[in-house]
Amino acid sequence: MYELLSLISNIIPVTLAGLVLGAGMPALFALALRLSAGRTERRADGTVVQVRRAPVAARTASGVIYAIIVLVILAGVLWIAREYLHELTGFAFLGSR
Amino acid sequence: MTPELIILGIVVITALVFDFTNGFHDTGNAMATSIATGALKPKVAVGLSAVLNLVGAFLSIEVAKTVGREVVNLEMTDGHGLMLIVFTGLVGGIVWNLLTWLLGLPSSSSHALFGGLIGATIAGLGVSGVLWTGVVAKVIVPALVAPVIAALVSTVGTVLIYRMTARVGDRQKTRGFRWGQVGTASLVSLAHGTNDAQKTMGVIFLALVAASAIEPTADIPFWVKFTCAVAIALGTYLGGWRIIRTLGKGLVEIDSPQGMAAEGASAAIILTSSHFGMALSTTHVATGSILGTGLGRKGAEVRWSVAGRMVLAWLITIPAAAVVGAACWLIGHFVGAATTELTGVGVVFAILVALSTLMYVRSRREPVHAGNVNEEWEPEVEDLAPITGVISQVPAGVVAGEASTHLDLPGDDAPDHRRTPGA
Repeated sequence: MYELLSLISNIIPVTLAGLVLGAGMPALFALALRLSAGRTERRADGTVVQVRRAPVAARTASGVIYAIIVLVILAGVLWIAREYLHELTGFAFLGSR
Repeated sequence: MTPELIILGIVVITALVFDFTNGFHDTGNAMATSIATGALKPKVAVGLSAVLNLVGAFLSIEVAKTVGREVVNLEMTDGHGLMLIVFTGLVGGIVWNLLTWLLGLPSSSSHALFGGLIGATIAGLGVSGVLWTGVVAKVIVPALVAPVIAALVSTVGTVLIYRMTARVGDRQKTRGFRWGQVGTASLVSLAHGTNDAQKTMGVIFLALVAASAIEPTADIPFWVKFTCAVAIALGTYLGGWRIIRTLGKGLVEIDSPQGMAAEGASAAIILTSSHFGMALSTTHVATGSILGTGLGRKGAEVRWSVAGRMVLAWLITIPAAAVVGAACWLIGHFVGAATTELTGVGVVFAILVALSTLMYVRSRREPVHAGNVNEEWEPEVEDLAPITGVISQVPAGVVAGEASTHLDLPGDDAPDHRRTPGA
């Protein structure tokens, strides 16, 4: 019974991590797209078309966000491979055992 | 060659066949959305997923030796008994995987494996041979929780994405999100390789221990890792097109932003959940995410009839695989007792081959492949002609009646890439 309760209590961190990474990262990606979107207008047929490019500052900011996302993904891959890399290099990191 | 060695060989091959079905059953979890939105061509998608599964299988060396030990009380049996349980459990898992694939239903491969093992254990050792607390903790609770969490995360992600990009140009939006989709789907594939190939490695390890071919404390031999990685990658490359179609086209009509939201949610949850002590099934997470992305987008329609069929398949996966596992155990045991152990195992293996062949032949009547995986779900009759060029010759009423789940295309033009495992 105790085991079951502790298992159920794990739902909260799983959901939080899911929301931060699983919804947060795509939202960050969307933000980067938004920043580099420039000026757009909605045509009569419902399509949205870019009419002017975004200013350099906005495009740079968007590039920085993309870079952050790539870094997070790389960290995720290293996280998956942490035990393997530990065995391969003898260097322990990201909590590998 | 002693009979024991031959039996061990058959069990290892059966485990690899399971691994293979695991691969093609789950390709859709990672790639269905990318294929549906056209972010990747179908063949490229399954190829990418296969390579990443292969890499993933090698990357993770988290000890998989606990597989089976969570559900079977190993102390109640000896090596020979355990071998038959593992073997018939695998057969139960494979048969259920193939049947759900035939029906285009994304059910969990891990559940099929656990179900088969549970059934074989009940038949062999009685109800007390199953560690029920382990079953509840490792299998049932995660299965109830996974789709709900995934749907929630994916709904939130979808709402945020659509809010933020409402005023982004359509071309930029599609291009951006397609890249995002490819990235997130790749992560899901990698995670799948690390999770699922491990399970088969664990099962083979268990068989090796049962046959006293290896010490229980030994490391998993390299050839086990290698063959498991290759089997799951080959299975993935084959592409479970029927399931890809259900996930990509059947459940919700998906657009690139939704695809990215769904795969992003899946990747994050699959990768983090085991760290928090709750290993969730890739299939349950992926399906929940795709469902959630339909809930999160205004005007997007979720086909609840398809979702309902999936849930039904999930509910009966464990009992159904258990029944097959138990039946196979009984056949293997009694034939084995009447003749030799090897004959018993051989008969069950022959049954597996026969059932696999039967389902493969059945699947050829309505083949789904890379060429038609993306066709409209429940298509209008007039839309069909330009796609197939052939079906326009079929009377309209027949097409409308037949086309509810699969297109009834002539099978001859399908590439012969869905060879039946075990046949």
